[in-house]
Amino acid sequence: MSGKKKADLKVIILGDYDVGKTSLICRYIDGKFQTQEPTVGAAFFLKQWGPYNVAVWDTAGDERYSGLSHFYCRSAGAAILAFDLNSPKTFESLWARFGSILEAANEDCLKVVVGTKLDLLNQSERDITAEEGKKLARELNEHLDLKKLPHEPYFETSSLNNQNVKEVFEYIFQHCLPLSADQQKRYNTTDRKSVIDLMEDSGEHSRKKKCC
Amino acid sequence: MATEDLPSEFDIVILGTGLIETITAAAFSRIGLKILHLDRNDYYGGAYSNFNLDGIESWKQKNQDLQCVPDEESFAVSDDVKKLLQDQETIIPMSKERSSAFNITSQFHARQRTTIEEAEAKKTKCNLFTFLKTEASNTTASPSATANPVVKISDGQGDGDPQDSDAKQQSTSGSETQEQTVHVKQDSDVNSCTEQLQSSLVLTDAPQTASQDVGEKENTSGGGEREREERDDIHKRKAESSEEENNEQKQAQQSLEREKIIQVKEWTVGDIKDDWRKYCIDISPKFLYCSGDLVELLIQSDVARYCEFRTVSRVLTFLQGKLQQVPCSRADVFSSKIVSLVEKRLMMKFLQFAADYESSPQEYKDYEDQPFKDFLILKKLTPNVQHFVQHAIAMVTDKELTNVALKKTKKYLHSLGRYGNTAFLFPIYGTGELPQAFSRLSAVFGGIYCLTASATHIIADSSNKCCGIVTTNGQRISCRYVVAEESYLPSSYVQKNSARKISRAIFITDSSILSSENSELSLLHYVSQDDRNRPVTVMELPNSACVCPKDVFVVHLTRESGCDDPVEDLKEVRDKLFTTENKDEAEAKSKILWSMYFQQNDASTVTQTVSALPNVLVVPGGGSAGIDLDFTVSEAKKIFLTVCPDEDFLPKPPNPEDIIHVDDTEAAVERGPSEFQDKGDGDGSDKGEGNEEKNECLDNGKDNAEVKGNKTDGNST
Repeated sequence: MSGKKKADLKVIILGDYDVGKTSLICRYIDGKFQTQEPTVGAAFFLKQWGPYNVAVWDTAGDERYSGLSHFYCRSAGAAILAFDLNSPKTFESLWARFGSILEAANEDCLKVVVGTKLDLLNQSERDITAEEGKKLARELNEHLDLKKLPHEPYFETSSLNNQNVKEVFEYIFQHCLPLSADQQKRYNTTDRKSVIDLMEDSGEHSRKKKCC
Repeated sequence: MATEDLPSEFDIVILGTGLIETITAAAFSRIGLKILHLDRNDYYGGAYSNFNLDGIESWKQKNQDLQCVPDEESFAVSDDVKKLLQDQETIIPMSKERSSAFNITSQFHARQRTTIEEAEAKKTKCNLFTFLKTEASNTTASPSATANPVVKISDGQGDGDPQDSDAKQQSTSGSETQEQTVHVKQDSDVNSCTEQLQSSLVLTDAPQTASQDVGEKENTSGGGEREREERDDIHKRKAESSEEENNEQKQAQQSLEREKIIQVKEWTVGDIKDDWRKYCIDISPKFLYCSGDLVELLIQSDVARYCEFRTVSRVLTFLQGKLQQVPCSRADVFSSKIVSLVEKRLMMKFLQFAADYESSPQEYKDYEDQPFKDFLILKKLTPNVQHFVQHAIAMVTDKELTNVALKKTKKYLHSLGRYGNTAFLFPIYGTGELPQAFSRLSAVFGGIYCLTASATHIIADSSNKCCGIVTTNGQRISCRYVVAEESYLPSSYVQKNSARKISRAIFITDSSILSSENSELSLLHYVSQDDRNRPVTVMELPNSACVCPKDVFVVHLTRESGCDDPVEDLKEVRDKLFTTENKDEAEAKSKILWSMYFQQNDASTVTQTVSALPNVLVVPGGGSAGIDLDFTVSEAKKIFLTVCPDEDFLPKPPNPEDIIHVDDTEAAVERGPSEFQDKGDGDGSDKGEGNEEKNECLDNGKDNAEVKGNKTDGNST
């Protein structure tokens, strides 16, 4: 029944159209590289990591025409901010376009800046230096204690060559799971427990308490 | 603000992202139709939207600015637009945006921070959490600390309880030691419970007897589900509480001082503004009947997978001059002390009849068209029970006819016990999440979303049928149908069936209208004495509904307007339950820290006029005074079936997300029992997806046990 269980962690991915968000996720989840058609069909993927269920949300292509909702970011514990290493415009977008909707994420949401399409990058001609990327990552995570992390939440990846993809997710999970004492407390309060999941509960309760 | 052009051909263009439109969009996308969904605003939801504190102020500003736009103004037909037309096509200009709310006012009812406090707040802001912790455990807080706003928040509230629950908590600890039948909702975390007790005991000072009585009733009726566990725990807790009592004496000295601090506790504007992000304030707050059409649709369409809800934890009513908790379920009726034993039987008997009233027509047929009120008298219900049934369960006015009221009663009764103790659910983060959730379903099935974009014109082909739109970016888009919320369409297309307006108020308050040691999500159907036929719906949402920070509540008042002044309309209930003044000792009313008032036109029932172009479908707008959203499902379905009469309406999607991807390297570790399993008796663990038929036949053991428990309880009273 663990499939019916609410995810322990929600990870979202943000970034301009065509930076390779779905490819990144698919590479991690399926271990395959696919040139993706714009994302269709799944609200989120569930991934099991140790004892935890992680929901990885993809954007469903709705960011293309400014259609992303706050709902997408609600209670996200981690956000991957993806940009195309070959396109400075997509890097600038991260702050400009997605900063405001990230307000809906958890206060302690970890933001990981991820450059994609490393395989296409000609290192001698790169526009965005790794330093710039790391700087943005530091700024976005100002509110967090990052000392516990091995390095800045910044990665350069290639979904085609499977470079650094797993590392992004491992990094996130290690920071967010096992849940920190604070989070653990939040999850274990009756408050959290009494959140109703219609799917789960409808099987657990009888409908007609009243009628004998 | 789309920077690139949209695709130029769709099956259906939908304008407005209110709940009905988004359900419709999801249904169309689900069967593979190509959907373009536009909203003129930069947020989802239209009249169903929710905002943080900053957002709602901008919403107010926008509506005030829009009031200058004349009612009938529509887009001009410029030469550029004409150029987009093909042979024999004609063009119909759409309505410009009008204000959707009027007579809006908002204000803080708290003082500004002093310069010292401002400096303190800045210093502590980054460190708020740790700061709160240390202060909460520091029982010898010096009086000088009262000047610090953060200290105020932490005083007696570090554990998340409303501040004036102290009286209540006293009664809890007191009654517990005296009477075994009192059940306190038990926190799973014993420590936090101890903490609560501790803080309550620290505050002990006033005489207990008066409040104790109320407290017991609350506790008994609120005990509900967890009763059995609680009984097991009660010995342990009793031991703890006697220990606490020893502490009590030691702390008596401090408590005096402490109480002083509580009384001068005062929120500042800065305290509230600092947390502006944590608010989710609904324009149209609604509840869902647990067994209503919307809940069924959420489950059936799988949208429930990415929504979370809380049950409305108590229904209140104003009876005999004070707020009382309404006994909703069988358990409540039995354990309630507001109704006598005789009344309990009467009430149970009546509710059993109402739950299945159609099968005993002889009971009500002759009174079908007479007021429900009279019917209840005829059924020999006592005034108390009449009040509960009419105002808290059926929630109807004195005029409402028996057949309508019985239907509502039945619906209520059938929603009981499915997810919780009351009949209602509330989406966490607010009603405004629902349109976004359905949009998400549409988007994952290929629906294209674009905010801050709309249609300026509809294009009609040579046979005078709708064949496309012109967007606000001047792009021509072809489509077979246009589905639009009424305010987007030319006013000649829409006939409003109701001239009603509703008056709304939103309060941020510092405590619950009826304090409790639990975090309660409350519903109150308040019968205003100035006009009994226009009752006020009061929804009080706590921090656990994820609509506000800790220690405050968001309260929504909704009432059909009787005049042009929403403040006037809601004055009676406000004065009865709230205050805007600082509390003095005698007054335990909930204090309003911020308030907003506005009015909306009721656009929830509209008819398409004959002048509307074929293939343009009108969707009702917001502004319904009703408490629930089930009508949105039938409206959406109606539109869907007009376009696709032979298709399934939101069938269960195939579930790629059903698959859990497991890394070989991180072999699955068996999970502990789920949160639900360990609560029940281990039953129900092997149930599949919650489809209805299964529920019906698996009247599971947990519930039986509960009923049993309550019977015992009933006997003991």
